Amino acid sequence: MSRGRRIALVFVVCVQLALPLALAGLAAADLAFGEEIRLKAEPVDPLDVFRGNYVVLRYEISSLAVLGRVDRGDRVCVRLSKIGDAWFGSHAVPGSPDGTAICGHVRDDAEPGERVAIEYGIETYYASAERAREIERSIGRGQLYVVVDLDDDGSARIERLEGNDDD
Amino acid sequence: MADRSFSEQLKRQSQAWVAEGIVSAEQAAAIRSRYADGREEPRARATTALAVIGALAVGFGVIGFVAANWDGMSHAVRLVLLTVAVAGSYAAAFHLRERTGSYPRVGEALYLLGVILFGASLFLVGQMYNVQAHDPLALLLWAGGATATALVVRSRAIAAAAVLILTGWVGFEFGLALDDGNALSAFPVVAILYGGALYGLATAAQERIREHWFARSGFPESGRGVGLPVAAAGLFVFTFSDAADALGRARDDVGGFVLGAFLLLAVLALTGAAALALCRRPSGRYEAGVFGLVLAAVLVAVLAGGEGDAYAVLFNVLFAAVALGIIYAGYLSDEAWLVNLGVVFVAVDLVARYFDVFWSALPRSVGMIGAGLLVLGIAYVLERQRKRLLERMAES
Repeated sequence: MSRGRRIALVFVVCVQLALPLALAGLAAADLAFGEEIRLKAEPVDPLDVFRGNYVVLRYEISSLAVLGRVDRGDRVCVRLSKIGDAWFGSHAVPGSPDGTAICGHVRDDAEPGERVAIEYGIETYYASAERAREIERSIGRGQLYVVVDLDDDGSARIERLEGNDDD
Repeated sequence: MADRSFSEQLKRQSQAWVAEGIVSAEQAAAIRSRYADGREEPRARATTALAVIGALAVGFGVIGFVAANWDGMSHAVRLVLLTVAVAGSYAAAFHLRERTGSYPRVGEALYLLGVILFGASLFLVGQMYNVQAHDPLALLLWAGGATATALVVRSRAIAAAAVLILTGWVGFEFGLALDDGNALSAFPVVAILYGGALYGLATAAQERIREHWFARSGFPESGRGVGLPVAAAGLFVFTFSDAADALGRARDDVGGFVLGAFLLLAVLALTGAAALALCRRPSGRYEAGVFGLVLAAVLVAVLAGGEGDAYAVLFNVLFAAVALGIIYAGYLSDEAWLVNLGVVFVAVDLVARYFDVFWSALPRSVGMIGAGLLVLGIAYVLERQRKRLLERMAES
């Protein structure tokens, strides 16, 4: 192997080592510096909570009325208000509102006032088989909450899942 | 015995040459292969196959281990473990294949393991932090890493892996984008366009830059080996009347970014067809012609719509032309894998048509007899041409 290719190999390997670490670092930074909120959630399919090792979640804010016309894939934000221990939202708007807000992308076209499905990137939660069983028991006993870290731009990342008994 | 003894001596000597810096490990391998004993070839292939299977087993084992979520370790420990595993397999591969040249096949398999572990690391990070930003992105990053490694270490196995991962990314992206309404029925069109483009461009690259190192990098042959079955599988779906019918309805649901992506794939596919037509390959023009007809039929079905049964007849004829044409192209170009692949497609088509509701109106036995006679006739023509060719070669 020529010297040039050796250098290229070192570069390629370094990039392959650095990339997962960098992605993990960015995610960890989001979790460390984001604003922590608690959202009420439920599994999409209560009869088959864990497919493999993850659960698909939906939230009360997963389907909301929009205040402006939106096309599929458009970014919208939801202003959140704290009621009790959890945060709730009533409508979505294109653009960023003031205060605590979570932002996502709409799944369909919608006219003003219509309800539309919104994805926030927090719809999947991975867990081990043991943890999955614990969460399933929590779901069976009552409500399920997801603790989410919010960035300044409204993007969200799951921190952990909590059941009623985890309070 | 003398030959074996020579090859063993050559092996020992060439390792010494590498150690003394007289030749590189690659040059030593080239010298050994020049004087290789023909009986060694199957043994070498078996070693390569075993090493690759071992690497795949370890790699997928690690992915499975990762997917099972190890609760007992912190995120940092998991990341360190995978980082060490990636670095370790690359270091071991470099030592065995490049530095000493003593175990080049095991070394290549360890490079492949490094690539698989890199992919596992990406998915682990996604899983640890519940990343759901855009799932297929990890496949694209993985394909990029695999491509870079394959080009630097010049490994055919990793080139094949890179092409497969890239194909997975294309499928995942379009699958997500089309997973709405009737649009998913357009998914096989992606397979036809992408697979056809891959096969056409890879074949032309292999023919045009025969002497360039890239032609021996494994990418052209992997592109051909993956592209052709993917394109044929996409076309095969439309030989069923329901799928052909749904294709016509899909056009209303394909728009915006997805339409742009389709157009880009169509341009690549046309470029692939043109490259096939212009290359020096004996069957190039025929292959380009059939691929052009398939593209035209798909475009008409998407843009004009119409009766599914009529399109099913058209796509059945085209699939038969593709399957038999692959055999003919393999025969003309002396490529056994193409002949074998074509035979598989013909067999699959015959079985599918036997059970397909579309043909139920016809007496199946008559249809089978007709199809069988057609295939026998083609075999007769091919054998006659082969005999003539051998006779001419004997005369000259």
